[in-house]
Amino acid sequence: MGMFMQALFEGVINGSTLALVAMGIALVWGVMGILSFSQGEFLMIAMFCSFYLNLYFGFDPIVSLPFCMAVMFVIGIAIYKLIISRALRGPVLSQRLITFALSMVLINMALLLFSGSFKTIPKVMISGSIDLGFMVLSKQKIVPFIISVCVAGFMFWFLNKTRMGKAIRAVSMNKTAAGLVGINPEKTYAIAFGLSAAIAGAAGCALTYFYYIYPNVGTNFQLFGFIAVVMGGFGSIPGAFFGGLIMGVADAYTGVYMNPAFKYVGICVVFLLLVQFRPKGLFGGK
Amino acid sequence: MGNESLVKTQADPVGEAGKAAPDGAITDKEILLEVVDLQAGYNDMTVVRDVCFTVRKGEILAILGSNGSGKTTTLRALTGTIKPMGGTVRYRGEDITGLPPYELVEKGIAMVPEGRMLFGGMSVEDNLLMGAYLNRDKQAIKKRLDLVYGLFPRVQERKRQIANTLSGGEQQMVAIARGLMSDPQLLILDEPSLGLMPILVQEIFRFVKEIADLGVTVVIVEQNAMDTLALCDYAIVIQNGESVIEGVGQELLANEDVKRAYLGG
Ligand SMILES: Nc1ncnc2c1ncn2[C@@H]1O[C@H](COP(=O)(O)OP(=O)(O)O)[C@@H](O)[C@H]1O
Ligand SMILES: [Mg+2]
Repeated sequence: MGMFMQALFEGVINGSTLALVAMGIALVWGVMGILSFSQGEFLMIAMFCSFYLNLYFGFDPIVSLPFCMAVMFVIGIAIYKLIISRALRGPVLSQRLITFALSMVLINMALLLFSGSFKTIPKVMISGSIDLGFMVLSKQKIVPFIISVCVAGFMFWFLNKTRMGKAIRAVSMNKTAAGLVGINPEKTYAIAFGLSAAIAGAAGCALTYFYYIYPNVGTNFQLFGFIAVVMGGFGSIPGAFFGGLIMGVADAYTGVYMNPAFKYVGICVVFLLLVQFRPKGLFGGK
Repeated sequence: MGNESLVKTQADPVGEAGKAAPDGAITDKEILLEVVDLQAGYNDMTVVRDVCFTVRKGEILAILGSNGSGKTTTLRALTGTIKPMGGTVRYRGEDITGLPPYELVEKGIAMVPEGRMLFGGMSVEDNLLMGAYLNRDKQAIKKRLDLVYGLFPRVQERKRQIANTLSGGEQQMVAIARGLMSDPQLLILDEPSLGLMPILVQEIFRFVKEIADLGVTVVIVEQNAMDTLALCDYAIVIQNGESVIEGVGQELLANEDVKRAYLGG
């Protein structure tokens, strides 16, 4: 029981980060048909951003959060304008691979700038733990979870209630029709890409509350986030959110109940079964 | 009923001539849209070779032609959905050739595309509200919505329903209603009757007539030539990407050549 609940806790914590990464992937795919392999690296950059803000200014990651999101939003828009918008005018294969190349470049740039060593933020504002008897909840892990849920909530609000959010959804549903009602698709692409980077950035910044910071940190989150998107029904943002949580929990249980060496096998089996029996994902309709 | 100008159109040095003229009959003659030698196609393949036509304010112009003759491509090119390969499109005297659709909406042109193209995951009302995307005046949008609901009571009944769960006829009405939400001066309809039962086709045609009566200029593409000729003021026929015949609706209806070639008569 204790072990079961503890794994559930760890899984949901981890899953909330995956959920934000996955939501970014789903958003970019839905709006512009680009497979974003660089979400994990956006998360990584934000982690370093949070780390250095703490090192030089003593900011707690909670304080750094809006700053990290803003920086990632701007970086996302710049990457869209410089790289993605051009790839969109090119052949399909380069559209598929461009973000993959981008992630390689970003990882190596981080290695060069920050070295490959593991860093952590030595002291955070909220720490300690809550002992429930049968399980222990680390407050340091609850903070990123709460942040992730709030950011996801903000995203849902933005997409459903604001003018720009509605325009982004309209473009993802029908690009031609969106143009015909007066939406400039190019502008929504840039903002959607910036947003995806910003929410990956929020996930990264929150993660520095307890996680190691190193240049390759995004790779696993990227891979798992990607599977979460497929699980949630490709392009569905709520689907991606819950897919991320499910992936986190599945990962935690395979780690606990099976040999941790088989962790990835477990995830991949879940993935293959899903593709077999619900090819459009859990939330993807029939 | 007033056709309130809810979308602010840009300064217009040429086109206002007819607006305030007191002697009604002549104002109808003002040219709203002029398409000259239009050429368009897909990836180096020219589909529309030479299409010319003129639309006058307040009239219904029909574009007829058999399947694949290039009607939809013509509309896509003139609304900037695809880049024209040649020719000129002028709207109220201004050269608008190749402007993207979102800029044309601002100038008062709305298109209801072939195949409806609703925002499938949104409710009917959200679809309509998206139609007024460029209008930031909440009150004006509400007024416009009421006007459009007045025209399409069936759409109002379904306003909470998700668009892709509607029947084909309902979807078409929503598509037209959405097009009207921007308060266009020129409404372009691409085969609104496609795939509908004959009763619904009649209903759609009645709506088109009502919209024209509101003072909106209409360009309608149809294959259903008989009904369309009875509805429109003026018609052109496109064949193999060229505009070949034109004339007043009633006259074309009587024209033996047209009957034989396009009306299956
Ligand atoms: N998106 C497209 N890509 C390539 N060819 C197209 C496309 N749309 C239409 N065509 C071709 O252009 C020609 C004219 O099509 P279209 O303009 O749709 O005709 P109509 O609307 O008169 O039925 C057809 O031969 C059609 O196959
Ligand atoms: Mg057509």
